[in-house]
Amino acid sequence: MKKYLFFIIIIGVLFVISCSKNTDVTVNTNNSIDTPATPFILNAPFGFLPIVIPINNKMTVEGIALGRKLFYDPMLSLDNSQSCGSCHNQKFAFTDSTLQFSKGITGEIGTRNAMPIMNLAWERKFFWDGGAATLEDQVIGPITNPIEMHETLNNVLSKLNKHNEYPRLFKRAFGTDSITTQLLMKAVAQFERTIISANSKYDKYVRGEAELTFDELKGKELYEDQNKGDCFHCHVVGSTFTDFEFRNNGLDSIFTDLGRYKNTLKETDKGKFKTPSLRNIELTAPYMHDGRFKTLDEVLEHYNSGFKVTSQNLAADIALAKKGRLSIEEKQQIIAFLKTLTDTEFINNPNFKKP
Amino acid sequence: MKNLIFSAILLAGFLLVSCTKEETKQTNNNIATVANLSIAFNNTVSGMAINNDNTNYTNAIGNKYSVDILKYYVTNIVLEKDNGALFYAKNYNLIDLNETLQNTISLKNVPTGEYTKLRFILGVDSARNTSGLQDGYLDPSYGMIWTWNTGYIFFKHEGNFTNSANQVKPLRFHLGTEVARGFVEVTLPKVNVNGINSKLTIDFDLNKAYSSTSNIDFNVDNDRQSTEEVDRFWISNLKNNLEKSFLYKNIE
Repeated sequence: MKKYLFFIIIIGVLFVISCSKNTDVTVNTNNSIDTPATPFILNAPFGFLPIVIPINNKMTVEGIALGRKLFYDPMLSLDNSQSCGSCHNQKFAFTDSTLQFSKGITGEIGTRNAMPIMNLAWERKFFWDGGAATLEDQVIGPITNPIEMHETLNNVLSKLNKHNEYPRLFKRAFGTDSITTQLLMKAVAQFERTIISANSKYDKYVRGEAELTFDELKGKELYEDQNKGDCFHCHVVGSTFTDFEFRNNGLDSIFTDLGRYKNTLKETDKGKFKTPSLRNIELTAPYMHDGRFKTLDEVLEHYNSGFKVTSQNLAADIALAKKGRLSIEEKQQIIAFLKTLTDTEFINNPNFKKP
Repeated sequence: MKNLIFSAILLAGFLLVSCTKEETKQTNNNIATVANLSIAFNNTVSGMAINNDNTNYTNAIGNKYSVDILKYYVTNIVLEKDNGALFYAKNYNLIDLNETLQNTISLKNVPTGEYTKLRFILGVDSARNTSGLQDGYLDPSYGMIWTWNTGYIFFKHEGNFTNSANQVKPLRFHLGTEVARGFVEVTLPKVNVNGINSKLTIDFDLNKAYSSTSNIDFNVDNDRQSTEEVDRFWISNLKNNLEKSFLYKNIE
């Protein structure tokens, strides 16, 4: 009997050790670079769906820190002048200030408005047209795009492998100092998954920690009223404020950018773009895939009466909406509600700043 | 001490069990008769090896063109015997005119016998076509992925051509997307895989890629990347042509 007891105790101890490892989120202070990376559990905030981390890119404290360093490192561009952070500025919910189109290293400008980086752990496809199927895949897009960072993956890898810090940091995070495209993609994606905004006035209201004003509450009601704002069908109320679908919201009757079609070549995808989250919308002007609207007033007026009913593949909710259904006051109330989605803690979070 | 002996016996027991399993597998492999086979892809224009300098080639409708870059994916090779028996290679290879070492695909443990068909996917299957987070020849640093679009470039030809006004213009073809995947079947004359014949050579004819089922005129199409509406017709033509551009050369 004693023998068995001994075994049970050993097994018990092993369990305890492995369990405590899993929940330990502090950086391993051991200086040896051979120490395995520290697992990091990314918890979903109150009201959000659980986060599914890709099985081939488990998060670690070291992986996130490495991704953060890479995100802010201009070495990822051809002339070492631009980092991801150059056009994704935390102050503006990681969009490019108030610019309609961002400038690449050659001074050329793009054709689509820089998207915010937040709550990507729940997103299904990336870029305005869903061109990247995973967050990992998204990473190499801006690096290699000639009108953005204009660098080749082989050059980036060669610069990183010769660097006096990176091989050691990759070794700490991934157990190898031989830096590959996969590891670069993984590290940056790990950092980006941690960029979560979930502490706006609205979130505090949901948790019973804050009150909304009369106008904000009225705005919320209009937002959720099918015959008024009718925002909620696509920008679902609650956690992410988007249902992640691609739609044509009737901006044009003749498309200058075919959107999702460029990726799928399906007739039914012409003119469709990703439904963006409305979190921090106050900070991410200008609006739409091409940044054509400078203010939220212009956006509300588009949905009130500006949409083109003759546009191909027009979203059903817009096709069914009555033009001119919102008064000036109602539009202002919806905007008042939208501004409750601004998360000042998020844009000041030291964990997302340049290390 | 007793406890230690007990655990040592347990451990030894586990090891024994796993060892026995391995050995059974080994014996099975010895019974089956298998051989190594390499499949070489020989890039040609009408049977003549392609140069990546400024050599001019002429396609079926008389366009003069050159080749700087020629790359394509050969994946999921299947060899078929006369009796219908199949061998699945599950390979992902990138044939590259400028990297000749890549153009011979080594297959191990191919059952011996006479094969009558070679099939492969010209491109990447849909399961692997959705993410670049992959290694081997599917690593994005091979430059065969659209970093702004989901999926791999299945076939790439870059060079220049002389247009109808006698001007030299760039030629850039990047074929891809879910509708562009080619399913190639090459008839083999009862090729005997026996360990003595170990290298099967397949000719790829670039001219056929522009003419085998429908002509592609570079004066009409000279820069296609599979992302615009106007690319669709070109995609289906090129895909259909490519499926008929591979021929058995020899086995030695």
